[in-house]
Amino acid sequence: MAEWTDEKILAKATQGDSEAFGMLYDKYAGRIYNYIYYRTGSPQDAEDLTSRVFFRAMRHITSYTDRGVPFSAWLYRIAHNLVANWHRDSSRRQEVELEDGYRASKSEEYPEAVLMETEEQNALMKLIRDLPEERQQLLILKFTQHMSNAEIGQIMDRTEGAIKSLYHRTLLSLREEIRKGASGHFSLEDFGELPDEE
Amino acid sequence: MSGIIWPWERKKVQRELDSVEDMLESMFKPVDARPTFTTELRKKLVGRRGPLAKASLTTLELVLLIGGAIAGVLVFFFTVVRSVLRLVTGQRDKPKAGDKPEGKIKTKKRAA
Repeated sequence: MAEWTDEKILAKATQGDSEAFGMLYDKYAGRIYNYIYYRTGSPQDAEDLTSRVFFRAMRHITSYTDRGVPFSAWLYRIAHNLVANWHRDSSRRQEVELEDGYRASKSEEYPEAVLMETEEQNALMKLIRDLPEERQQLLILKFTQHMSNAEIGQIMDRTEGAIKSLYHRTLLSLREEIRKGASGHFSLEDFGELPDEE
Repeated sequence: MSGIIWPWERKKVQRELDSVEDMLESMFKPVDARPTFTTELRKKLVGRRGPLAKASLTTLELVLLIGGAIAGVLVFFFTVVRSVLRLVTGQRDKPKAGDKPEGKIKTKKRAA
């Protein structure tokens, strides 16, 4: 089993081999959890949605066909759809405020969760939450999964150039928000000497 | 601010964008899920009760299952055909020599 390549594991899994699916789970569970955790801001919801992602993947894996898109992209798309549904659920969104979510990660129940230690990071996270969904997704894939623009493009169904452009615009937009000092948590020292706005 | 970045500002803007990237890099730290959660979920997914476990029968199990089903159908079919044939031809099983006759047993009177 150790010499199995990714292709062979995937082929076995698509034939209904539970052991092969277990190997795929071992490989991707952490990444999917990370992605969902940063999309929702809540460890509890991240666990719930991660479970749903893998149960959905398992139900549909026998009909999975390789169309040049990596298996990971297929998983991330499932995760993205579930997270989008989760965000649409307004009642839950109101229930889990960003800060509460991250505070929950400090609880003893979730000691492994990395916390938003500084005020600045919390403020930055708030700014990110205000970005359009696709930009949030892009940042999370880039910084938590360390994916290239091409890989992100496969997940978001865009070209590499489009992702590069979107990323640049996202950074510009964040820079702008930080400069405005919208949250009052960023100092100009972060950027050194800044030119005037007008 | 307009979207225009003037050439003389480009270096400065790039520095700022690099700072934003650094901030993002330091913010998005990898998060580990609870080990109990990942273990339990794995058990649910690929454990014996998982949907995939049901689907992944071994070849031997599959042969036994199909063979058993075919044998069962054949036995049932043979029994039905045999019963119908007997009914049509009116044949009955002859009692075997050791079988006791049905009804009242007549005993011979001993000759005095």
